[in-house]
This record gives sequence, structure tokens and C-alpha cells, in this order.
Amino acid sequence: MNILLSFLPIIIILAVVIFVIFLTKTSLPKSIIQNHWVISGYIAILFISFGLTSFHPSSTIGKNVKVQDLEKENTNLYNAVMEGKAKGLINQYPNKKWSFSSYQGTQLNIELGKVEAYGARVVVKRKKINDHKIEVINFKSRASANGRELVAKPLGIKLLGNTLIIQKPKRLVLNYFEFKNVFSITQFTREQGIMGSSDFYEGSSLLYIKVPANVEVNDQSNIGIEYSK
Amino acid sequence: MSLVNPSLIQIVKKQYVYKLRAYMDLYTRLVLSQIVAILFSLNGLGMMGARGGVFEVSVHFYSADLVVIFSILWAFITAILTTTKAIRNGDFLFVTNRVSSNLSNILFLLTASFIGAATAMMSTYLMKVIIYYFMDHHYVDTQGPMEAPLELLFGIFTTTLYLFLFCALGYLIGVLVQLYKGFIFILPAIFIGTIFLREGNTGLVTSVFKFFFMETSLPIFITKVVITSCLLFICAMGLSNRMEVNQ
Repeated sequence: MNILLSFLPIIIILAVVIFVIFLTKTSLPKSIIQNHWVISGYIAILFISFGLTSFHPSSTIGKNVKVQDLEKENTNLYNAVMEGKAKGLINQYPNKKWSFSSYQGTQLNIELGKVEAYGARVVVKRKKINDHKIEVINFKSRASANGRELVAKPLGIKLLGNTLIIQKPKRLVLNYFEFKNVFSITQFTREQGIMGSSDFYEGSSLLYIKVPANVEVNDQSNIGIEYSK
Repeated sequence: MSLVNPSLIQIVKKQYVYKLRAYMDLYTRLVLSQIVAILFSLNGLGMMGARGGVFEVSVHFYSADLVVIFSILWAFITAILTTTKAIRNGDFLFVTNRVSSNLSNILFLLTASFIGAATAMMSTYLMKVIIYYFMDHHYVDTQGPMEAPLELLFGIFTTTLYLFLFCALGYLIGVLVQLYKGFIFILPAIFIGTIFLREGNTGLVTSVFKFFFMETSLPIFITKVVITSCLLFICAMGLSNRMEVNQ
């Protein structure tokens, strides 16, 4: 039924084209036959384009998202991490993990490297055991441009001695085309047309750091480190 | 003297079929105007740029708006052309009167409006194919044809109404010009004068624009277009009856 419905517009247009050809098929002057070829060729190209478009992916980047949903998910992620439930979120949110084993120090300095303050939230969890391992998970920033989800590149993390350096991710530069419906449709569906407003939302990145039980964390760049349960 | 007494419907049908066959060059002009509009549209009709801490996004917007606008212009000019003497003389190949001539013209313009609207809406897919295969950029299509077949039908229907409305306007203007050639200068002067008489949102052109283009209810829009088109065609038919046989 759905397949039939999908081809309904094409069937109707074809029916009209055949009807017009049928009415005008009798012997015609040469100039009119030339016009026939131009019009038939154009219509054929339009039909071929329609067919080809059916095989395209509807998008080559991100999925559709609502800014409200992204905000809600960011809040849920933050709350879950603060409650120490980050483990269960690893498969739900885009992330990157680092692990630094054999850490012998009792102090860990955290600082921002070579960049001005960057809006990443840093949450630290002190483990119950002293396993000499520092684990870092970066839940990547999720943004939305005109309702299309964009995921940032991960933060850069380096451990130099007893200092964990957080580096701003490389800027994600995206240049893409977006098709809008014509005004004779958007007028009634109230969706945004060409002249409609655009929206951009940039979420925040979250860095979750698990440190051994005996390690003290020092905030060297006034990042505003928070501690989870 | 012929003993055959053809009905009005038969005469209108014959003239309609004749016009579909004879005025094929008008469709060639439609094709050319749509190709030009597609070429202009490939440069993008709008753009949005945003730059955040970790993102830099440029979105180029595309739509078949320009193709529809060019098709509307084509419909308007086609309607004016159907009232010219050269084309009207074609009706005298048949047993005819002003009523049958006007009715066959209206049917021809309705068919032309549908073909113009259908090709304009379908041109969106041609643009998508060009951008997808020949331009090296990411691509976002809010809805594909297989997901929204009714949307295409809906677009063809509403665009046909727009084209037919402008056909009606063009037809009336064409008849007026045939009655009095001075209208060739007077009508554009009135139109341009009205645009320059800036009256904010209460100006005549703005009000007419809002009346049709800002209408969000489809049934009300259909009513407005049908009534306006009927009034324009009735006026045109009334005025054309005042013309001399060979005028």
C-alpha cells in the first residue's frame, strides 16, 4: 500500500502527460515535433531525477534532533555522572576513553593546555581502591544546526608527570547543503522555508575522570572541578 | 450553409485540443525558464553560518522557490499571449464565438498551470541530483520523495492554483490591452506606482500579497484563488464580448 502511495504522484503526472500526448499525437508540423522533443526530454530528465533521488540517503550527516531533547539528554548525562552512574552511559552517548596505568603519584594536577577557558565540565570520581590507574572518559559535545545533530571531535588529553592536560578539540568545520520545501508547501505546513529563521545549539562536553583512592586532585586552571558520588 | 449544429462543448473541446497541439512552443519557453531558474538556484537561495567553541557550520539552503516563481511568470505571460490577435485568429479555423474561445483558453491555461506546477515541483529532484552527484558537499534533505509522496501531490496542487491565479490575472490584462493599447503603459505604471507608494503593511500590493501568500488554511486559500480567478475570467470574458469580431 505504501509503495503504491509512493508512486501515486508519478502515476498521476504520467497519466496527464500521456493524456496530452494522446490528444496531440496526430501529424504535426516539424517545428512542433522539435518542441515535443525538448519537452519530452525535459520531462524524462525530471522522472529520472526522481528515480535517482529515491536511492539517495536523505542525509549524509547527522540525524534529526530537537534542541530541547539535546538539552534534556545533556542534563540527564550530567546528573547520572554526578551520581556515579557513568558506566551505564558509555553506550548511549558518543565518547572517547583514555587509561593511564601505573600512576604512582598521590597528587594529580588538572589544567587547560594553551587554550582559553573552554566550556567542558570536569567531574572527578575517587575510586574505592588504589589501582594506580587514571581513567578518563570524554562524553563529546553534541550540537544542533537547524535540527541536525553534530558531534564534536574529542578533547585532547595528555598526562605529563603528575599533570593531566586538557586540550580543546579541533574545531569541526562543516559545510553542507540543506533542501527546503517550496513556499507553496511551507505556507500551509508552517515549516521553516528559505526565509525562516535558523537555529544553532552548541552543547557542552563532559570529562569524567576516575582517580585512585589515594590521589588528591588539584584544579590548576580554575576549571571548577566537581566530584561525583 | 452548414446543416451541422455543433454543441458548445464540442466546439470548446476541438479548440482546446487544437490549442494543446498548436502552442507547444509555450511549453518550450516553460522548460527554458525552469532551466534558467534551476541554474540560478544552484547558487543557493540562502545561507546560515554559525561559529561556536568547537563547531563552525555553514548551511546553504536550496529550494525550488525560484523555479515556482519563474513558472508563475511564465503562466502570467502565457495568459497574456493567448489573448493576442495572432493566437485569437487561430480560433476562426473553427465555428466559434467569444464564449467558446474564452472557455477553451481557460481550459488550456488550466492544463498549462498543471504542467508548469508539476514540472516545477519535479525540478526539485533534478536539483537534488545535481547537488548530490556533482557538488562535493554534505547534503541534507528534509524529506525524500518516498517518505512524502503526498507532499509532492500537495505541492503540485497548490502550485497549480498559484499558476492558474496568475493566468487569470494575465488573461484579464491581455484582454484589457487588446481593448485599449494604452494599457500597455498604464498598467505597469499603476503597478510600479503602487509599489513606490509605500504604505507599510497596508499598501495595496502588500495586502494582495498577504491575502494569498500568507494564507495558512488550505480550504480558505482554495476558496480565495477559485473565487478570484473566476471573477478575473468573468471580467475578461465580459470585456472580450465587447470586442469587434476582427479586433
